[in-house]
Amino acid sequence: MSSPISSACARPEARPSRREVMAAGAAGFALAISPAAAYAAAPPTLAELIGRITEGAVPARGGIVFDIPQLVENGNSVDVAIQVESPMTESDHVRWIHVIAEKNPYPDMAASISVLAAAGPTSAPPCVSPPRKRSWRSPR
Amino acid sequence: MSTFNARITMPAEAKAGEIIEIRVLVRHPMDRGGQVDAEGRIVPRKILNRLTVTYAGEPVFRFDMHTGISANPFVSFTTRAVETGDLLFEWREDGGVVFTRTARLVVT
Repeated sequence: MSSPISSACARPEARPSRREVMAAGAAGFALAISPAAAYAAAPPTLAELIGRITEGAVPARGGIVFDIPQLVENGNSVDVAIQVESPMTESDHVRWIHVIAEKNPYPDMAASISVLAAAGPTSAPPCVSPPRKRSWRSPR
Repeated sequence: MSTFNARITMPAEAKAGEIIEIRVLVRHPMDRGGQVDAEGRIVPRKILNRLTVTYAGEPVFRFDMHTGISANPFVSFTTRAVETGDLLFEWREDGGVVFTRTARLVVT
């Protein structure tokens, strides 16, 4: 589900080489775009990103407590806590939690968390940050 | 880079049915790609893109990370203590390298 906006942030192994692209072209595939053009495509909008997750379903508000500080001293690492109201039984449990950082310079999914089975009341605070600078500091 | 260092904090034992919190801190630069280093070269993307936690053979938690996740990512989650077993933590890095750690949970 990752959607890199530049070739630099694309996953290294996911990128077809020029040779592969040329071979595909020679094999008769109609390739209208070069790999460079494909990777330089416009970043997906928030609606597009949500649409990829919901696949057409209309999301309902509520049921989730999203705790993020309004003001942070250091934007390199921001603690986020997510709490979902759910009985977490075999028949009724949360399957996925997606976090999208819309104003992130790399407008991408920040995190996707899957709670697969037998979990208690879920509270998963990952550290999400706008990746402008690199931080070596421990987030806690 | 062989500086992979994971710190897993969780109770060593728990009562059956108890909800335990597991905290995982990893040392990793999480290079999102496109940054310029001190020598003026472009740093390629290299992040941990997935953490999978398996408890007694059953996957209980998966955390897909993207470029928005900070360096040295910390994640905390809860799970229900069911049986005595190993928790297997598996990180997948860009490029296909996999790091694993295990922690044992004794259920009384």
